[in-house]
Amino acid sequence: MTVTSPPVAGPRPSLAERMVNRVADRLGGWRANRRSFLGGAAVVGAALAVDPFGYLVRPARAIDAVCGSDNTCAAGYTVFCCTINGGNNTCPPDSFIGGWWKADHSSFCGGNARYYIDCNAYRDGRYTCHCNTTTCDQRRVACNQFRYGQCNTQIPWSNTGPVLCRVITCTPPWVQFGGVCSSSSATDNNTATHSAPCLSGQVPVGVVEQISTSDGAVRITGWAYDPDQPATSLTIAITQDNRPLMGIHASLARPDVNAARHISGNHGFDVTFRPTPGVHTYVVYAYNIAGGSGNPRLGGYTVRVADIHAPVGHLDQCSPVGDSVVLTGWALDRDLPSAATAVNIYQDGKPLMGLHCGLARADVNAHYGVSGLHGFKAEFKTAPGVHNYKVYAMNAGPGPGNTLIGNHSLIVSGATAAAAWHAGLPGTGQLSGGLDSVVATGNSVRLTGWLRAGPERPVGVGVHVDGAELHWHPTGPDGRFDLTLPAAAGVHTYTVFAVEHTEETVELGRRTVRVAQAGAIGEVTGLHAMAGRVRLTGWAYDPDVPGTEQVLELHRDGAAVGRYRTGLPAPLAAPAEAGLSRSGFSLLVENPPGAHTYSVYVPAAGPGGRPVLIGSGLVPDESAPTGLVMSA
Amino acid sequence: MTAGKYLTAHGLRVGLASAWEGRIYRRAVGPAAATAAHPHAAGWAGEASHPVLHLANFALPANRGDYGTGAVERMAAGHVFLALLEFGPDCLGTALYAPRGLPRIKPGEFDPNGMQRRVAGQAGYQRFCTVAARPFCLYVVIGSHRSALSSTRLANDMIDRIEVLR
Repeated sequence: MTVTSPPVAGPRPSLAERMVNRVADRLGGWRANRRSFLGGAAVVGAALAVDPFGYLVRPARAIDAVCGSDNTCAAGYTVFCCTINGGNNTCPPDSFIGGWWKADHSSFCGGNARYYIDCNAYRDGRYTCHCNTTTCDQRRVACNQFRYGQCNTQIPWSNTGPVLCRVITCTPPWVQFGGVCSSSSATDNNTATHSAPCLSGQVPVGVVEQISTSDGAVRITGWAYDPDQPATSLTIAITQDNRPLMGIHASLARPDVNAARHISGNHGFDVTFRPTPGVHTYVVYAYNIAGGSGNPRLGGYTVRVADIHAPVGHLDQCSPVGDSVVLTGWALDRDLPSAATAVNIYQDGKPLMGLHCGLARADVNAHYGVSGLHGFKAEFKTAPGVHNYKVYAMNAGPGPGNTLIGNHSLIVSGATAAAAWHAGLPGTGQLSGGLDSVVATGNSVRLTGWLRAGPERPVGVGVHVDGAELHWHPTGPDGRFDLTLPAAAGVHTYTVFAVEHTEETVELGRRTVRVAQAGAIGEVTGLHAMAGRVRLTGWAYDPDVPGTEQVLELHRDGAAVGRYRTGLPAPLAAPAEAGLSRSGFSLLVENPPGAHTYSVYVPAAGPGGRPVLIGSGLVPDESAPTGLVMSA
Repeated sequence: MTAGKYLTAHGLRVGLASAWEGRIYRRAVGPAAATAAHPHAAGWAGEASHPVLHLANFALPANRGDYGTGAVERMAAGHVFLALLEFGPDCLGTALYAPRGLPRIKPGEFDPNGMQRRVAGQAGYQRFCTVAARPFCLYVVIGSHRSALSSTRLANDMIDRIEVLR
């Protein structure tokens, strides 16, 4: 049976589309005109720069080497965005990222995958179909009604217009456009050689100015930028002993670089971290963001990281004895284990005395495998009343500083219970209370709350900052406390305890706030390895947009593993505000053999933003043998 | 629909009509396809591949893009190429993938510009949908827009033969 096809009453192309299709079908190729001829010399130069081998050994026009295969309108492909968007390798206004695909083994990306990101117009007629004629990238503009489908999936097909143009990158789209594109792969190696003059850019340039060690820490500084987009801050990758260590942003102001290079933006980087002791080789790379091939190595250096420690110790006793105070404890600097460590005692915030450890502490020596005298005892008279004592172990060898080993308050006889209460001192009995608010203001944090207590049960509050720093404060006569503590920029967690008899007895609350910093906050509350996988749990939310799920980026040993979202109920440890926004997460990923550091970031919210590290932790080598050596 | 050969893989099953051939594949991407010299030659860590089904009533070349480039250029009048691509579960419930079930095509829905790569004389059709709680994109190319009526019948017949398993 023969079927005769009637005229198809389908979507009728617009006049512009019909003209484009007709002209393209007939021409079948690009024909030079006077203007294009005048640009010929530049094209040859670009061809040599972009594909020197291909241009020199194949009998093809320079223009073909620059724009690659299928560069005519008749070839049916879509133009590159930089060709029609003022040289910018970005989606033009009134378009959206509709999806992506990749070509494998691309020489444009140093042998790695090259990603093509479609910018779709909306179905509003804003753009009309035409062939580009400004360069040898003569491909179609806003003609192909097609969508790859991994990005902006909240935009339905009914509002999807034609592909306006294509963005090119060597960075995975789900990383470069996190929260917009998913990582569902699509491949088309037939497009591997497509290019355009505006893509024949340069690789980043930069310098590693310093890779040094001090007190067990490594510091790496330098600058980098991409001449193709000189105002954009780049991502810097650092490897340690040929393994990915971390990715950072070169986003510190470097006016000297800007002045010398006549560029704008922030391009400096300065990172300090504390690796395991030993000899390590660090290499720094800059990620290419536009034209050019590959991610260049900026520099590298091998350093020896010393095995150093901060002093350790403990204030075992802080007691009033009559009109005197007795403090006992121990202190040790493991960098000088046989030396007598100095201990400094502060009374009510003022230096009181210093002494050297001189008492035997066999338990300490046995635990640390050291010799020497590491115990101390101080007994001294003091005025009756309320006193607070802070004891520091003083650093003697290399290391990061002195260590607070005790912080206690007490009443020396002579102070009445009423006086103690008015000073907000510890008492006895059951306690209850609450942490009402923790609010960051400028460079400080204000904590308010209350304790249920009367004159017969005087108490104070102890504040832990990030689990380390300690503050002790009395409550007011009405049982309330209102503290303002200085705070550095960043995200800090405050835990407040009721203090009774110099001991922290009841946790009143725990809050995490950010100080002088925009973006999300969060915490990794759990990191558990099991059977070749690792689960990370925690919470994250943005106080500026509460109720919004956060995109999370998980890194293993400094390299991105994947992107995820919050969406689970927040764990109990999270602030109350976070609980409203389904801010919890539980990530389960493969844990390859070996020890790995996992870090969870909330990616930058927009251009110029910075990712926020909300937590990280080390998972030891599960496969490492364990046991006890009985003889050798 | 006539009984014939069945093609089954990755939770997809299709009964091939006479003179049709098909492939169901899932590419190795990211670290799974890495080489020592180029560890990211086929994508970076985190990249997720999903099943792809290609059906055609002509010989499918080996080097094909997921949306059929490399194959559609070989099509003549009467030829039909059909691609069904699955996407990640993150697409579920989104507006783009909201339509339920594989669509049936009307001849008038084929568009000469409805193609990833326009080829003179051909026409394409594309829709996104969710089937058996799995998000898909259906993409169909016909070798001749002028024979859309008969080619639509062929395409719909093959769509009817596709089973998406949970």
